[in-house]
Amino acid sequence: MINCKEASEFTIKKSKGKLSLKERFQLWLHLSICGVCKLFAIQSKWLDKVSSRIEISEQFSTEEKETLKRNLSDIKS
Amino acid sequence: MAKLELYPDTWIDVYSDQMLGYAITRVQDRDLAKDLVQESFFVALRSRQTYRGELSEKNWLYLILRSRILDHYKKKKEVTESQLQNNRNDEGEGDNFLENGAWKADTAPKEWNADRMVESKEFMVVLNKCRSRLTDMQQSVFTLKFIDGETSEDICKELDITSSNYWVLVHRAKLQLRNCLEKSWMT
Repeated sequence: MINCKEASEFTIKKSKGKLSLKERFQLWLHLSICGVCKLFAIQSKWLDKVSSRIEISEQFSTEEKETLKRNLSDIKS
Repeated sequence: MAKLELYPDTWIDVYSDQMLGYAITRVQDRDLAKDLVQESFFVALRSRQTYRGELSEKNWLYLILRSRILDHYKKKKEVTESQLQNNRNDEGEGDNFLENGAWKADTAPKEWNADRMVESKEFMVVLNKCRSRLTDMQQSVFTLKFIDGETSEDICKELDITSSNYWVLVHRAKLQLRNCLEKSWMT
């Protein structure tokens, strides 16, 4: 029987299809009796979904753009 | 078919903001992101003779930016590795598991109201804050895996790490992030 630490490792590998049949069975068995690891599995999956939407938008100020343009044209010439 | 061309005079106006957002999402530091974008334009300008018009101008610029970001990750990796040699403290599973591999009571996952979390705009801020608390290598791996959706094989190749190291990093990143979210958001 695998322990919780292993179960959490398996959970993460499983999301990328990296578990063998035996490991999948071991994980299934563990999750069927361990509520905390089951919770971890649900949260982990949810975290994957949310993380793929991380996007920070940011802009250059007008001055920064002017400097960038100047620096760029220095190189060109 | 007409060959695609480059218009360097328009780069800053057309692409610089998008590229800054792309970089900052991946390095989480505005000054650094700004440098990376600027460098990318320099590199692009200097190597514009090698542009064959196979990629669009935009994709070509992003390819250059992306390789600057990966270079940055690799540099951080070298720093991390030399730090690890000097000071081998374990950042990771020790926070969550007992010796026998069972969850520690205080950091074991607790029930979340996940729907309530996502609806809030502040959630992304918290998520990013938690992400920036990960170690450098955990951040790199996390970004490539979850934001860029790359395969584990590609990430190992790009960062030059072994597959077992990779899974340890992802595992720790996940645990840390989960802990941090629970602490900063659920209480």
